[in-house]
Amino acid sequence: MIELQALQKRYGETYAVRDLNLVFAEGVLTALLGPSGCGKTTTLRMINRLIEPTGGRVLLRGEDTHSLKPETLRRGIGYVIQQIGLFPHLNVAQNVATVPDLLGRPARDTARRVDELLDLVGLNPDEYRHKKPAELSGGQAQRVGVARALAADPPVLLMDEPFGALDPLARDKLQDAFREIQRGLKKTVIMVTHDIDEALRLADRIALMNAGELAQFGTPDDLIHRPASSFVRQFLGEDAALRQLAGRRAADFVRPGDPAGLPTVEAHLNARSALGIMLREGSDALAVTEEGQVTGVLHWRDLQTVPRLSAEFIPDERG
Amino acid sequence: MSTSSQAGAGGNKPSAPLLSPVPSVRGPNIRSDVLLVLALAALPMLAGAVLPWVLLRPNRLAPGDYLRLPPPLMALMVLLALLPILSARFTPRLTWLAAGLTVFTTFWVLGQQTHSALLGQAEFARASAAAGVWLFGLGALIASYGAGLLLAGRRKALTWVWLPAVLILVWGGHLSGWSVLVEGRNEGPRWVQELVQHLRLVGTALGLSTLIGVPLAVWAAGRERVAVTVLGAANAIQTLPSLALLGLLIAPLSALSNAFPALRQAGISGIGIAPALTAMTLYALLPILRNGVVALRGVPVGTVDAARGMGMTGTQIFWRVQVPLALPVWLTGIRQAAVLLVGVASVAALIGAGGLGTYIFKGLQSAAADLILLGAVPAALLAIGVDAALRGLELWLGRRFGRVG
Repeated sequence: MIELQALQKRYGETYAVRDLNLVFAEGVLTALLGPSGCGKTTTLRMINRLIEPTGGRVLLRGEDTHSLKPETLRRGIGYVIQQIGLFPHLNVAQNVATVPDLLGRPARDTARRVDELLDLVGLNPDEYRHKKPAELSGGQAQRVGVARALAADPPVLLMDEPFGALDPLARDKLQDAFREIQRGLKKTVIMVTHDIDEALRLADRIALMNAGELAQFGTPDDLIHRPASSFVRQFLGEDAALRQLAGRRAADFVRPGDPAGLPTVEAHLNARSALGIMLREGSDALAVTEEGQVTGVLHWRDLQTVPRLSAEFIPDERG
Repeated sequence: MSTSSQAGAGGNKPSAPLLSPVPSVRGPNIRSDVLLVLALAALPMLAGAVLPWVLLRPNRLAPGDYLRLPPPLMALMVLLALLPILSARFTPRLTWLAAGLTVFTTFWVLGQQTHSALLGQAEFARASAAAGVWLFGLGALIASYGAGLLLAGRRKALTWVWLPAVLILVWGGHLSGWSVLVEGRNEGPRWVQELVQHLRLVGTALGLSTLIGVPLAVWAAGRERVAVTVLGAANAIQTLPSLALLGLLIAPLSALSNAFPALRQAGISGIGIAPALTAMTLYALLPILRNGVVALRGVPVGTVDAARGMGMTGTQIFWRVQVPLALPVWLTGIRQAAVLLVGVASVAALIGAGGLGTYIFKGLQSAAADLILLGAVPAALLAIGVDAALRGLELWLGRRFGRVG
């Protein structure tokens, strides 16, 4: 879908991005992860030409983006930044309608599309359509930001720290909501983040960058279990596997079984909490309950396999 | 996070109001402030009640006699002076009415006293307002401001309740004995002409400086060095006293009109309208430029970035994002310029440009206070009116564009 070939951005003598080769596959959510100043935002902004590269090419469906007018290119790519990006003088509906309006789509179609999108991001259109951004909470504003980026139904979505300015609670909720949306829409998403948890929770692929160069590209499992360098291991941290578990629900690991005599865990809790309960109770299996009803059993062996748990986290005192 | 977070007030401010004391504490605080203001208002009114109200002179320039109010009326005025503060203490809901009554009565008693003073006098006799009127009127206006503090929202308009009543007094001829209005009646059409000339000067200069200032601000906003130069120049002009600027322009403009007869035929010379308009335009540039640059720079970087990222062209970003977001602050600059110009236009009369200043300077030359007032009072009211009108426009635009600027 999108291919970066020997992409480079140089400011004087220093390289912000150097010889970057990457392929973003269709329908895949890729996180551009890395410490601040590693060039991840520069890379993102070179894709929609908010920054012009000093070398290399960006191919969109095999076509060099340099052959397109920047405005035309950008209207075909969804773009989400931190919540300050909403137009404060326009209401929610007008904000969402920005790109369809720029493309000259009929107003009636756009109005219908706006309602559809507000529904999709979990905002009641009748309630929110006429609100101004200043009347929204951070989480609601960012939902509008996502709806706005999706308005013209672009195949590609670029997101620059989209959930960075939110408080942890709102961030969790919005990440879950966005994962559901992405599960349905299957857009090609490129998301810049410095938040490892966010990358592990949302991304199908992670491109970890360091000092303008690619440190490793692969699935979250690849990075955790097969780090390409000591930098990758250090950046993810020793507890990366635990963090990955934090991004899954206990319900994701349920299998049928006999729950008799087992400690219980509620299905909506995350898998790391489930592991915590196992450690506390000295049990290697838990009964998973949903609204008081037992739905099945969770074994720690499953936690280990998908995704695998590295050796140092195997609890010694299992029963 | 709840949806009710401060509507329209820039949602990201730290929510300190949550910690501040409950609203019920506000009432008594405001009440004690108002009582203080009304006490300050009562003092000049009490002094005004016992001082002379009318200066009666056989003609415009001769010395004359100061006349006090007759004792029963004086006693009534003393009571009236205390009415607003008593009302605020016992019937706060009606304070606006009490304050309005004091303002109205000032005018009514002035009209009644001047008429009775002129009874049996010769045609050229003049009855002017004396210290008592001014002090009582000042106190009454302070009281009316104080009463406004007790009102909220639209009800604030009630503090102007005296204005229509006073206009009816003027219209009905009740104040026709007051020397200022006598002069006004004598001047009649000429006064209207000078008022129109005043407005024309202000309007033209404001239009010219907007035409120059707006593009200049747009150009300077994105360029640090241009901004520094342009704002520095405008600042330097602003530091010159207006009278000095008018004087400085006389020499170059008369040289120009002597060198090019065509210019002289077009009406450009060292004195008159040309230097006045030039000076006024230069003067008004600073607020328009400064607020324009500040307003355009105040547009959030993220908003412009998002607009660019969604595929707006430079022109679209300018008109759809930057202009609407900068407009409220920018209009504040234009309002400041307009108010400034009403003042500078009064001085422009000195170099023969006409306007209400004509009466001020005529009055100063002949020591005729009534003539001075004939120019000064309308000029002051004009400034207040222009300010209020443009302020209203700003508020409306601010609400419309979701930002209180």
